[in-house]
Amino acid sequence: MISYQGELLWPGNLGHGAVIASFCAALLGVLAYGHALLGHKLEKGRWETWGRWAFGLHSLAVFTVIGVLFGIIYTHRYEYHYAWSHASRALPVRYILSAFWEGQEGSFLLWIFWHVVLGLFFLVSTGRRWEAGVMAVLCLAQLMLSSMLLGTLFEIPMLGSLKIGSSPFVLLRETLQAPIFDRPDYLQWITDGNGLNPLLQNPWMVIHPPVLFLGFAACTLPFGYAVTALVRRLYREWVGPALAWTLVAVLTLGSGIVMGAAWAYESLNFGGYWAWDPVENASLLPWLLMVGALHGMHAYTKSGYSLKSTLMMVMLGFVLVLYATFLTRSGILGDSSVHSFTDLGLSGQLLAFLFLFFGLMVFLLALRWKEIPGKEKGGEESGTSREFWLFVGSMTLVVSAFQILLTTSIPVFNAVAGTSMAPPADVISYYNRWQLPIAVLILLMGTTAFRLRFGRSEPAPVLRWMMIITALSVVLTLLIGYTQQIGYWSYLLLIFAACYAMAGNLHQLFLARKRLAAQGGLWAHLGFGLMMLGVLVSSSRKEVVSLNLEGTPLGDNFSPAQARENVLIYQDQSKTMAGYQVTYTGDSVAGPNRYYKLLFQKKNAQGQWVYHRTLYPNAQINPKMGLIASPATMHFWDHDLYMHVTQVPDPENFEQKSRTYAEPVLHYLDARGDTLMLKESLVIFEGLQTRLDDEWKEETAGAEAAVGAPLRVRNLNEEFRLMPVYVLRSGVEFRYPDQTQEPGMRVELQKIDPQSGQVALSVQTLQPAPRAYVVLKMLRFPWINAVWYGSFLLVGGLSLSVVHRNRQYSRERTAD
Amino acid sequence: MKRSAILLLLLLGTGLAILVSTLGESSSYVDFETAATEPGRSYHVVGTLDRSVPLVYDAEKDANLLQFALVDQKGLSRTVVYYGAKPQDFERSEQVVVVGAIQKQGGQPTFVADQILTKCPSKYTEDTL
Repeated sequence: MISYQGELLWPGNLGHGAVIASFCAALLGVLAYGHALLGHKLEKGRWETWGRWAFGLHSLAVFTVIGVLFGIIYTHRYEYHYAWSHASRALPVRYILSAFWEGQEGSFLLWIFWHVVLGLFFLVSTGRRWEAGVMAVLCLAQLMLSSMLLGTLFEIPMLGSLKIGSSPFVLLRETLQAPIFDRPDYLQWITDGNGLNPLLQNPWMVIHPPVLFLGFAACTLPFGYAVTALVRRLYREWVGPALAWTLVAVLTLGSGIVMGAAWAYESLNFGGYWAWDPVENASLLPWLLMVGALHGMHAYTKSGYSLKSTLMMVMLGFVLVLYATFLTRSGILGDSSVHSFTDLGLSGQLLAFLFLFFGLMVFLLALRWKEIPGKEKGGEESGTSREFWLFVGSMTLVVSAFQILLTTSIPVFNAVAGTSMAPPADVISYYNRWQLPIAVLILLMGTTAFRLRFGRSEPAPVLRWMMIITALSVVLTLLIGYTQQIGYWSYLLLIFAACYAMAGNLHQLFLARKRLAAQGGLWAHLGFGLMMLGVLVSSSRKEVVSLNLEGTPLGDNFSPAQARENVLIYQDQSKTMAGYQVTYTGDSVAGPNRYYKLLFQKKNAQGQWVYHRTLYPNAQINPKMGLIASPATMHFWDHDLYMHVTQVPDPENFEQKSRTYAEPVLHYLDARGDTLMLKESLVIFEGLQTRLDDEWKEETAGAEAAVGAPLRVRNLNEEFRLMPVYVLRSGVEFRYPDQTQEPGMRVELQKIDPQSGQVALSVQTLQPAPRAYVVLKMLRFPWINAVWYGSFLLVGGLSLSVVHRNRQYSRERTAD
Repeated sequence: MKRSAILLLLLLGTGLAILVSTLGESSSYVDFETAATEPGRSYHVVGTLDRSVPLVYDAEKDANLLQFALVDQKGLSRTVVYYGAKPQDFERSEQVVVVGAIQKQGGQPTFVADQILTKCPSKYTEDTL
C-alpha cells in the first residue's frame, strides 16, 4: 500500500457520498410519493410530507455533487480522472462549464440538476393534487439518473459482479494503469489535464447543452401529469396544468435544437445547419411528439376529443427522450454518426431506464384503456371542426417522427437482428423525400385550422378565405420560383405551402391586432412557415462557389457527386469566386487557433477591384486531433457566403523544409566548355581554367594541380558567376564549392577525367521555399436568414404562449 | 365508414409505406467483392487504411484528388478515389467507411467514394498518460 502525496481526497469522498445520498433520497421519494399517489394513508401526517423531505434532501445532495465536481475541475485537481480527462490549465474559465458537461457523467448531472430545479419550482408554484404523481415520476427518473453516477460494484452470487453507474469522482490512478502510479509522488508529474475537445470550445457549447437538457427535463413533468391522470382517473383535469408544462418542454427543447443547428452552422464544417445526423434526430423525435401532444391537448380541452392519442403522445414524448439518451450514449450509433460517444458500459442501465418508463406507460394505458373517455354522444366529429384538424395534424407529426425513428434506428436493428444494414447512401435526400410532403401537409392544415371553429364551422366563408390565400400564395410561389430558379414541382409545392402559412397567419394576426401578445400560436405558425421557406431555398439553392476547374481531368467514366469543391490559393495570390477576388494574405495565431486572412475585393462601377471585406476562417492544428477547421461567414440580408479551410500545409513540415538543399546531382561536361540545362536555369561552362587568380593563392600553394570551373548561371532575369575549384595537394583532393544566393545553387567540381576530357560537376539546388497556401471551400446559402428569423418567431410565439397560458392558469386558480 | 376509421387506415398505410421504404432504400455494409458485383450501385464499405500503399494527396497538384487503398473486413485491398479534400486527420483513422460505388476504370476496378467517414481514435477520450 502506497501512501500517495499531495492528493486531496475529501472532495471525492464527499461527492461520492452525496451521489449515494441523492440516490437513496430519490428512492425514498419514489416510495413516499408512490404511496401518496396510490391513495395510501398514514396514521400520522401525510405521505406527501415524507416525499417533500426526501426531495429536499435529494436536492441538497445533488447541489453538493455538482458543487464538488465543479470545484475539482475549477481548481485543476488532476488526481481525479474526470478533471484530468476533460480539462486543462490552458482552458479559459468560460469553458470550464463545457468541460463539466463534456463527459457522460457531467451531462447526466446537468439533466439531474434541471429535474431538481423544475421539481422545486413545481412544488412551490403548482403542487397540490398533482404533487404525488408528478413528483413520484420525477423521483423515479432521478433514481434512475443518479444510479448512473453510483459507480458501485455489486457482487451477485452465481452471476458475478455487476457495475452500476460510473462515478465522476474516481481517481486517475484508479482508472488508469501506468507505472507512474508506483511512485508516491506521482501527482507531481501530472501537471496538466487532457483538455477539452476543441470542437466544444465554443460559446454555443456553453449554452446549447443546458437548454437542450432543460428541454429533456421539462418532458418529464407532462409524463407525470399523464400518470396521475391515469392512476387517479383525472381525465378531464390533467390537461390544463399539463398543457403549460408541455409548452415549456416544446419551447426549451425547440430552442435547444435551434441552438444546436446554429452551433453546427457557425462552427462545424459540414456545411449547413442540419444533416439528419442520428444525434440531431434523437432530440427532434421527442420534440415532434411533444408538439403533437400540445395540439392534442388543445383539441381535448375545447372538445373532449382525442384524449387517448394525446395521452400516448405525451408519454411517448418522454419515452423518446430516454430512447434518444440510449441511442447517443450506448455507443450503438457507431459508424453512422459524426458525433462520437464513449461507451461507459451504461447501456444496460439505459435500457432498463427506457423499458421501465415504456412499461409504465403501456401498463397504465392498458389498465385504463376501456374507461378513458372518448368523444361524447354524437360520435362523429365534424370535418369542419378545428379539433378534427388538430388531431389530423398531430397524427401527421407522429408519422413524421415514425419515419425519422425507423431510419435512425437502423443500427439498433443491426444490433438486435445481427444484420448489416446501412442508412440509405444519400441519407439526406432520403429524409427530405419523406419529410417534404409532411411539412407541406402540416403547413396547410396548421394554417387553415385557425380559421375553423371548435365544433363545427360554416364551410363557405372558410373556403372563400382559403381561395384568397391560395391565390395570393400561388402568385408569391411563382415569383419566388422564378427569381430563385427553382424548377422541381415538389420544391414549388413546399414554397407554396410556406407562403400559404405566412399569408394566412399574417392575415389572422392582422385580424387579432388588438391582442397580438395572446396569439402565440399564430406567431409560431408564421415562424414555422418562414423557417420552411428558408430551409427550402437555402438548401435547394445552396451552391459551392469554390468550384475548381483545374486539376487532373476526371475521365469519361466518372461523374462523381462531389466534384472538385475545393480551391487552393497560394499566399498573396487570388482566385475569383462568387464575383469576388479572394486573396490569401497570410495567417496569424491566436491561442490554439490559426486564422487565415482572406481579403475580398469587389469590382466597382469603373471595373476596378476595391476592398470589400476580410474573412478569417480558422483552424486548430491540434496535436491530438489534426486539423479542425471552423468556418467564417459573410452575412448579407438575402444570403450568406460561408467558407472554411479544408487543407493547409503542416506548419511543422513547413519550417523544417524551408532552407534545405536537394540531393546533389552529378553532371558530366566537356572540359573545354559546355552548357547545362537545368529546370530553372541555364549553366554555361566556359572550359577548365588552370590558372587561378591571386585570391586562391593560399589554397593552391604547393598543390600538384589546381583547376577552376568558371560558370555563368543564368535564370529568368539574372546572371551569376560561379567558380568551384578543385585542388590536389600531396595526393589529397580538396574541393571548394561555390554557390549563388538566388536561385539557390551550390556547385562542386567533383572530378576531372583527363582521358575522356570531361569534368564532373556536382550540382545541388536549394529546395524551392515551400509556398504557403490554403485549400478552402466556399458555399453560398441564399435566404438562410429566413431560417433563423423563422426560428426566432417560432420560439418567440411559443414563449408568448407560455406566458399567456400561465396568466390564464393563475386566473383560473384564483377563480377557483 | 367513420372518418376516424379512414384516418386510422391512412395512418397504418403510411406507416407501412415508411417501413417498406426504409427496408428497400437502406444500403448495406458490404465488402469490396460484393460491391464489385454491381458496379455503379452505391454501397457502404467498412475497412482500414492499407498502409502498404502510399496515399496520394498533394493539395498543390490537385486539392480535390485523394487516392488510397482500403482493406475491407475480408482483407481485400482496393484503390479508393475521392474527388475532394483529404478529411481531417485521415492518416490516423482507425476505421474508414467509404460510401460510393465500384467503377471500372480501364479494367482496374476502382471504388469511387462520394463520402468518407473516418473514425479517429478520439484523443480526448483516450485514457493514456
